[in-house]
Amino acid sequence: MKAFLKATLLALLFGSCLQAQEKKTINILSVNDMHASIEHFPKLAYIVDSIRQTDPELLVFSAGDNRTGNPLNDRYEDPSYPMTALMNAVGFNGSAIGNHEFDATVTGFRSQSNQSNFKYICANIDPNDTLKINVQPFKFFERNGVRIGVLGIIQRGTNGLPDTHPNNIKGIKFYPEEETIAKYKWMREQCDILILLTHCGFEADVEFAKKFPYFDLIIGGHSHTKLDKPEIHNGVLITQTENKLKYLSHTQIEVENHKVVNKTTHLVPVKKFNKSVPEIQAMVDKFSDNKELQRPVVTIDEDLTTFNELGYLLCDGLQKMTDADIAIQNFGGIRYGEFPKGTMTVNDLLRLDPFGNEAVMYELTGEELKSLLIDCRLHDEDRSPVISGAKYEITIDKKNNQKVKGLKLFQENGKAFDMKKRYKVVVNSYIASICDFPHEKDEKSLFKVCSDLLMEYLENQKHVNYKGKDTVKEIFR
Amino acid sequence: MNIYVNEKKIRIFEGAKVKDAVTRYLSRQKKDLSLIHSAEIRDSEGHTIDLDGSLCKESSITVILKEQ
Repeated sequence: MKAFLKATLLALLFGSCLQAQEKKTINILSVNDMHASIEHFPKLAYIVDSIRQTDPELLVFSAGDNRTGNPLNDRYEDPSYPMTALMNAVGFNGSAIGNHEFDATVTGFRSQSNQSNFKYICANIDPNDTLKINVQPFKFFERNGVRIGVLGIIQRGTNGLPDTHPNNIKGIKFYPEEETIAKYKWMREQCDILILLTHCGFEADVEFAKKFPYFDLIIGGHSHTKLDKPEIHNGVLITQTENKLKYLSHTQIEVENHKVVNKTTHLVPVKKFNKSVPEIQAMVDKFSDNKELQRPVVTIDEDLTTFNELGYLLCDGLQKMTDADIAIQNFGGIRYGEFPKGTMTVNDLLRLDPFGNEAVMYELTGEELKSLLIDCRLHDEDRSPVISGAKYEITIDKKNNQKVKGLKLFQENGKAFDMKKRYKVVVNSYIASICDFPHEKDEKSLFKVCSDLLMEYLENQKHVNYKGKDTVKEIFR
Repeated sequence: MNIYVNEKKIRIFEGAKVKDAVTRYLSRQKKDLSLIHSAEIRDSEGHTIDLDGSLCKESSITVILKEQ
């Protein structure tokens, strides 16, 4: 009997030692909404390499929106190739799809996804096979005997589509986020750690945690939220790192006997880090010497010598590319007032409109349009906005520049303007933010950057001539 | 869509980002729009959010201005 007890005790002790030995730590680094911040990649690479030296099994994820925000990347000959090459070099293991991944249309994302050494992971997307987009709904990883499952999800706006122009995602179906997540509950049984990699925003991630508590970790993006302390909702750890590689998140998950026993996360500053990997810096330098910015876009036939002429150029491109009846440009947003005849390059255009504002479409009556123009002037240091698709005369109190006495609209050919008709009026998102005027119908972002639309328009024109274009007449009385 | 900035309801275009809502708020408050660059912006749970962050309808954000 004694011998049996001794053997049992020994077995228990040995067993517990074995169990203790089985505790394993999985290191996960994650970023989100990098928005083509290629300049911080040498620092990111240094941090990743340092951690990988102590844990070669390290996993690195992005929660999407890898592109959009830096012409060196977005206007590269093969759009977004710099980001893809840098993410490959750093050794990412997977990425969610962000809404901005489609900004260079399906063609752009096809190239981006097929050149990536890592997988884009998204379950609520159904790309037609003919589009040849390289995406899969989930992925399992094996690290040090631990099985890790990752399920990807992209956000959808009120129209059921991600926040991008519908033309950018032609041929792709998107499914409801929560219904899709529920379908993959079986993943829980097949892994030790289950991760939800989302591009839906922090508020949505909290909701996911409430409804699907069987996830161990949610790596999120889209809302650009900085979660500087571990956020645990309904037992689910959520992480997000603001944006543009200001930080990365270092999550550590301890697993014992195939069960998560501890998890924590903290932010590591990237942008302010002072060490970098020279090889990655060399890649960034190469990508920064971008000949694309010097590429000719259009020929300007005659010298443009006024802000109104260049403002009309901005309006005309925006109007034509959005099928609007009228386009409006705030005067302060026209960044130079002279341009000599000859070649206009990509760089010249980006200097003319450097803000990256998106186009916003209104449906306005003539009376509402009048209010918009007056309000825009009031909020733009009393400078009258430029317009295409119509012209106007504005009467201003000569003793008080702020006071508009009247505004009369005309068709661009000078004929009478129907004030009761409803017009499609396109503006940039800055105007849509500052102008607070009464109007009946809700306006919507077109999720297209104004300078991109203008570039596309001018590239198709080859030659333009806006000499003498002046659709605004100011009368001081 | 409607967004709440410092508990004030703001009607703004669908697809607006944090910077658009804050610009509208500053404009309404007749504040210098350049204050946006030094403002501290937080979501409804108190987390820092960036100006390029996305908003959904009924989002609530807090703007703390650092007056110059």
